[in-house]
Amino acid sequence: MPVGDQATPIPPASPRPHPQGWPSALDPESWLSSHGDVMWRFAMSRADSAHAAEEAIQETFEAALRSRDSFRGECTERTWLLSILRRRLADRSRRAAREPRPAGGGPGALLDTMFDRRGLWAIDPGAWPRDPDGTLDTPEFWSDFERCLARLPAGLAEAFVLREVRAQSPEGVCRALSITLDNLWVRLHRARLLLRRCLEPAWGKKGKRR
Amino acid sequence: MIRATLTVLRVASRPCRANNLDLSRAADGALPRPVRIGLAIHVFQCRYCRRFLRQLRFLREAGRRFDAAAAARALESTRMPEEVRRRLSRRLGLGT
Repeated sequence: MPVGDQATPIPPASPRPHPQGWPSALDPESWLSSHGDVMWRFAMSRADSAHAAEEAIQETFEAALRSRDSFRGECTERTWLLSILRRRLADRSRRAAREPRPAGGGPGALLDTMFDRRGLWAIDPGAWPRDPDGTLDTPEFWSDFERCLARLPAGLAEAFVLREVRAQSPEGVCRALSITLDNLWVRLHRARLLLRRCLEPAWGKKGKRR
Repeated sequence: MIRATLTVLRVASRPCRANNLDLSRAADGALPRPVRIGLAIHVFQCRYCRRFLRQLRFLREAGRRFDAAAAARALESTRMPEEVRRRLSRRLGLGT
């Protein structure tokens, strides 16, 4: 499934017959409505930001439009688009690894807000309920929990749900998300830190700045 | 034995930040025994890491009791935002 050269002009998006005379199985007009959400979740689980995810999806559609004559229908339209998107994201990830990470954007940025230069707590962790039963029996808590979970980046939310809600083994989660164990620990850690930050104002006694 | 003891001492005396990821990993049982013992000593001495650990346990319990349908809803809500859909449609001449 070769992807066309970036410099080649993109043909119009309207459906057209397959070069061999068969009706094309591709329908670019419906790509956004049929595959947009799946591609978005896939891209958000791997990209650094929503902006990067959007760019990767745009590049994917551009490449797919240029090379659609090469689509032989051996897999579904969605699988084809996702395979292009996976390669685009891998390219972006390789490029990003060679560039210096922008300030404030890395995984350490969250920890920077929690700890001082010596690595000690900058804001004391709040004293949360010792016995969670009282809080976890409250319907309002669950609506807040769902809201906070929905606000996590997709890749972190997926890892948290598979591991904590569905109680899958770490190895099972890694297989499902195609990630390494080390990456899983980092994702779970970040998910827990973000959930903690989101829930603390309403449900935990907020800590004091030291 | 000496190596394990050194690991225990090193982990126990690290700054809180350096132990933060490992406190999260410990909940998944993914750490070697000397690191777990070092963390336990650190947490015993540090009331703030003790509170943080309690918060992690709270979140873990919440995750266990969270309704699977609500979890699916939360994941589903990570849909492509409308403004992104409109921008892509405009740039590429695709339908929304």
